[in-house]
Amino acid sequence: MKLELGKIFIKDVQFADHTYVDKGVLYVCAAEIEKLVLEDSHLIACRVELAHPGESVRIAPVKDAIEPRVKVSGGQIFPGIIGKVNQVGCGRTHVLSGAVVLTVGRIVGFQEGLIDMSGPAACYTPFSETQNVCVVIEPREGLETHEYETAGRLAGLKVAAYLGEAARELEPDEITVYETKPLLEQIAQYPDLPRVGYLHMLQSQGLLHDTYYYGVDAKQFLPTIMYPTEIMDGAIVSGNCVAPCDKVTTYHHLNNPVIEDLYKRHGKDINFMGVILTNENVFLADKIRCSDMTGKLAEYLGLQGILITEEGYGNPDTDLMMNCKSIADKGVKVVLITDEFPGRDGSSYSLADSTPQADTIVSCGNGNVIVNFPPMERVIGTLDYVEMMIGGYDGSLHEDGSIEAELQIVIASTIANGFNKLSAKGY
Amino acid sequence: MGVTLITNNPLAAEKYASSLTVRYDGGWDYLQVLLQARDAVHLGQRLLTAPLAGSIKPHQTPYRSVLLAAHNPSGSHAGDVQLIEGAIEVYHKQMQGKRRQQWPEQVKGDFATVDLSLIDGALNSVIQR
Repeated sequence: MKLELGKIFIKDVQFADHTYVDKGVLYVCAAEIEKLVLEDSHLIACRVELAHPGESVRIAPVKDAIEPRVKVSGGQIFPGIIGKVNQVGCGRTHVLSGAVVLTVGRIVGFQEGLIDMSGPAACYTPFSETQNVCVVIEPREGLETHEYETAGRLAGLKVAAYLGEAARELEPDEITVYETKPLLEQIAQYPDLPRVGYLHMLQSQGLLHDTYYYGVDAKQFLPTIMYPTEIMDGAIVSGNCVAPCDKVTTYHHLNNPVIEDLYKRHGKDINFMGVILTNENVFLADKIRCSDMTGKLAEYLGLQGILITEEGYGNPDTDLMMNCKSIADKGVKVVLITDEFPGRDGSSYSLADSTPQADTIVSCGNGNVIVNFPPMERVIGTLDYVEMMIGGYDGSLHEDGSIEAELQIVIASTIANGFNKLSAKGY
Repeated sequence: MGVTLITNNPLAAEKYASSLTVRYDGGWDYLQVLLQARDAVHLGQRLLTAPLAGSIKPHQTPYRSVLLAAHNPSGSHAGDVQLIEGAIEVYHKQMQGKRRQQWPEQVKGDFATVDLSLIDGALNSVIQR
């Protein structure tokens, strides 16, 4: 399967009376976005606000982040969700790279996080460096939480697909070709290089703890294999918030750094064989069933090494360790990528579970560290829920609008696939 | 199938009052639910759901629900004992130096909804098994 990914670099976003791109500036028509969002009768209000890097702006509560993309050929974006069910991952896709749609609004108070566009806390989230189209939504009174979650999720995806259309006829600034061949051909292409795969664990525990694969709720599928390029066309969509810091947003699925880096080394020092997908269910029998199967699939694909990423803390740590053990016991070398919650001083255990086979781990940082957020001139959304958000606590929000909270309140700050900047250096 | 729900979540207790054996006490805190589940496991019941289900850390939610089966078909439940004891250990580690937070009613409602949703999802699995 081969995908041409064409990036159009966006360096600014501005309002206009219709939506288009000119000289790297994305012009957006707020009225059309609002009309599109309010087609859903579950939502009664929608406001579009823009946020640029360096501005004195705080955005909260943020539910999802989505990158505008369009399928120029080879299917429709976000298949099974807003596009029709169709095979994606091949043909050509255009990206408005540098532009992001953020859905903003209280859904389940504690699980949405915040983004600062400037100041000392801006560096913890990638979305302080993007041109953000914030879609602030409000539900009809009395709307049931699951329905509101669905409405919010679809609103973000629809707006991203709408903006993505502006890229359809453009000439990309950069085109990258990604290709993974069918199993036997892929093995034959680089027979002397170690065969490496990626186990992608999708959050799937319940309301706001869900992910969708071609529109299927991840808790309802069994582990499967996929071509890595499918993910770049929106085959995986985030429906969850989990803790803000390690939530894998739809943007992060589209731009999965593990897949990106494995492709960079594909044919050089590794043979990147593909992706195994699995879930993180709460039912113990599911955990056993699915981790048995990830080991089986890794063996079946002839993998010699595998990277595993998880989403969330606690229950997912158990899946992480069960997958690690199951795959390592097949003789495959395993590297885990995760973030840590060892307390503010870093002295407690980092994960809720462990196994002796987990001997190689890449850390994405400590979510418990305290961070100070200075007041911002403008708030997109509301700060009403800051103290209830994960990472916030009684007394977090001060009268002047400044905040003291744990790092985990910031969207994607310790995201457990490495799409962040936290690292440790030895001197 | 003899499934027991141990919970301090009023929404879960109400929803499953007629279909499951429900052990509910609105006065229990998160830890007390885990301790109730631990006692049940030591008396031979088997865990159906992960005691730390959800990615919400123990100090970040007032509610906890655990599903248990009445019997142990595999004959040994050492794994279950280890899981529930491990969960209690994690609870104590996470709570170190933290005082228990008081939440407004609306936020408690959100926590109850998410906790119920985790149990709903797991029960679908039980039915499909």
